[in-house]
Amino acid sequence: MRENFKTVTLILLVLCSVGLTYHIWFGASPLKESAAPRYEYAHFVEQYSRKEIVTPSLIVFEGEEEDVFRRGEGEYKRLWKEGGALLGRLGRQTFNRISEAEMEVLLEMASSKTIFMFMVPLPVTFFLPEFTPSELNICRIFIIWEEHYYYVILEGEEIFTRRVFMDADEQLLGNLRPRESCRHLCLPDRLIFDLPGNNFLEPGEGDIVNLGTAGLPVGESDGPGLPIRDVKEDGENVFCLKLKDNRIFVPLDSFAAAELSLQKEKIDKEELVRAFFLDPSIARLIEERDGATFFTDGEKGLRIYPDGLVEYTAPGLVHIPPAMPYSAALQKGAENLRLFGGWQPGIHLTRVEMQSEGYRLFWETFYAGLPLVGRRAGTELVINEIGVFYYQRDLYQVVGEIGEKGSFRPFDEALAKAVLIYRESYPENEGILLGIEPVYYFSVEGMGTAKAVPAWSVSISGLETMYLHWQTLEPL
Amino acid sequence: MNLSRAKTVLIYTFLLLNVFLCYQLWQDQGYGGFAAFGRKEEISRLEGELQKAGLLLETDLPKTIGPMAYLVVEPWHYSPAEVIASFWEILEGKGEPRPEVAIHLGAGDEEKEENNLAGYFFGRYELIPSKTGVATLKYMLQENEKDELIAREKIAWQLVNNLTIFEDFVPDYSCSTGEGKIVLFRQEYEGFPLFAGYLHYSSLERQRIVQFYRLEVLGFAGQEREIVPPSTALLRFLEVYNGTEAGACIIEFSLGYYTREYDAERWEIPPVWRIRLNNGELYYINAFTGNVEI
Repeated sequence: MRENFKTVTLILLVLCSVGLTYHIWFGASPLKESAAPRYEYAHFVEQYSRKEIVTPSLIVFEGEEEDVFRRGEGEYKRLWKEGGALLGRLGRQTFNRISEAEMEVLLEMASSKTIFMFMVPLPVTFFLPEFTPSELNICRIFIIWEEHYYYVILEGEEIFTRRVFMDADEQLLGNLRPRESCRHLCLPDRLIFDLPGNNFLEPGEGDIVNLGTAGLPVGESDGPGLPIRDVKEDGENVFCLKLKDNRIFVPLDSFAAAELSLQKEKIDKEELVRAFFLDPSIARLIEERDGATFFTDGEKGLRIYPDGLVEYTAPGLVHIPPAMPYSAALQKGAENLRLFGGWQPGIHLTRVEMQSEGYRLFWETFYAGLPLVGRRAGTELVINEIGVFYYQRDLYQVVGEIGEKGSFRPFDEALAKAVLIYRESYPENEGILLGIEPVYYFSVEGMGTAKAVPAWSVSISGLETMYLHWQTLEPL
Repeated sequence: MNLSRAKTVLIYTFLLLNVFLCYQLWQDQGYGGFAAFGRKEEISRLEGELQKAGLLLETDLPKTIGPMAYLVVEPWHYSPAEVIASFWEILEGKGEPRPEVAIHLGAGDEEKEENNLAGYFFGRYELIPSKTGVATLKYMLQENEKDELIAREKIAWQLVNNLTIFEDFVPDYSCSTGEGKIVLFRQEYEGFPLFAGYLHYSSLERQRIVQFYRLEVLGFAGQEREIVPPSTALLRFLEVYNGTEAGACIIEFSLGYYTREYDAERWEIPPVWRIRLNNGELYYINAFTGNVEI
């Protein structure tokens, strides 16, 4: 009995020593692991395709007259959908490289064409994944019709074209013709204003300050609907407005708009925090005196202001060189916009700047063809190889129109008023016109609500962009 | 030797072996005085990184403790009049009549003027509260005033021991600068150092400066989480440390709570590993993320 007890004890001790030796030799990890963080994916909206990241800034149909369609208009959406589908069908076609002169010849010979113009260059691979060279960034796409075939011209750093013979399926090409008219004028490279006796008066019925013929190219001086008077170019009573970009389109026909009632988009704060901090439990909360809430993990910070403005910074990523390709920056930027609050309908990528620390991307809201501008409305995101290091989001949704629609004052009156304002600061007889377009000008009314007033946005070199009330032309 | 005797010998041998192995495991859990087998790689890595950074570790790394939570704090709201009365009693004595307090806006150093709310002058003293909650008391020494080292520190101790606003303050450390000596106290909450709350008593040649900052602690935030072990924190520190001073060494490695001063209503502050070098430099490593707190 005693021997049996000794045997069992010995066996237990041997097993115990084996176990302890194993535990010491291979045992517990040297560093104690933290509790597993809880990760979860945060998506505010469904995934977008790459084709929706970049949209044309303008769609121009050049036939007997020029029709221009802007973001947010129904016809714009239809034309871009058809244009995108056409490009998609060309996926496996071979394109030929042509020179600028060859392109000009093709364009001059064309009786009618549709042009998709991109302020933010469109990476060719977004629509044609197998295109070579894959790094082509398209500034303009031309579609030129002939009787039995059509040309597609892709203009970027280089120019490529493809002639496609129409088969039965290609009858759909007719869908690329506008179904509505939206006549526009492409402004000439110089505009001359009559300044009677150097006394600037309020522009009235188009008879006090008006565009002159002197600056108009031959053949355009009697263009449709252009208010032209005989004005002598020489002399002190003349103001010359030169154009920086000779592709500025202004509407010729009267068009109407109404003031808009806006509401701040509602974003789930918790979901937003989860989007920025993979493990939200490490984000500590700071309640600021102005009512803003600030979340930080010591390296990056997310501030949500009482009025809903969202601002995120990760200063540690600033010094990373922007080695990423342009198309990747757009794609990652779009992915992050979806993650950080969502890509709401009506938002378009309007500007991309390459800076030393990364790509800076801007989105704006469009409604019925007009962008919502003013203050800080919109979204801005700065991204580099490592990630997003700055993000600001201040988006409003259109609730509805306020009151009856009214007509915009003609563009020449808006230009004349802008010249009057310009002359108050600069007495010269010359200026450079950077742009003119109809917009909705944004003004905050109360917490979370705002109003947008239709306005002419006029940019003249040397002055901040002027926003002129669409009916009174008073600066906003 | 018979089998029974052999079994007895083996039982004693294995018993001794098991005792030794248990002791090793005990060491491994961090209760012993030297490194266990399982940490050898980690120790050698730490030594290598310290050598690369040109630093010496002249203190023991603390033991890892269990999960911790954020601490919720808000700024300490105080009445300058009450603070002035308290300081006056300690520095001048209870019986001494307090002169009128003169106030003027935008006091203090020019570069800090924006943050300063006002300057309160009473006798030879000037109290300057700032928007962030930091307050500074300055005064010049009188001709007949004792200027001995013991007297200097005594005043600092008197302030901390006798003023109720500093009841949760404890001595931190002291250091000498080219201009004089600084005695530092820090706030404490439930046994944890609160490095963010401090009192600095600087004795310069003819001037004394008392700078203090206090936080109202509302309690711990609900959710607890594991903290990074001291060895990991030290490695993260060595990754970012770029000092070149010869002979620099780590003289303190401790766990507490830290935040920079915010002009905010309420905020959460994380546990940190504080690393203090012999040249006076302080580093705070967030004990949740391992990132350096700025």
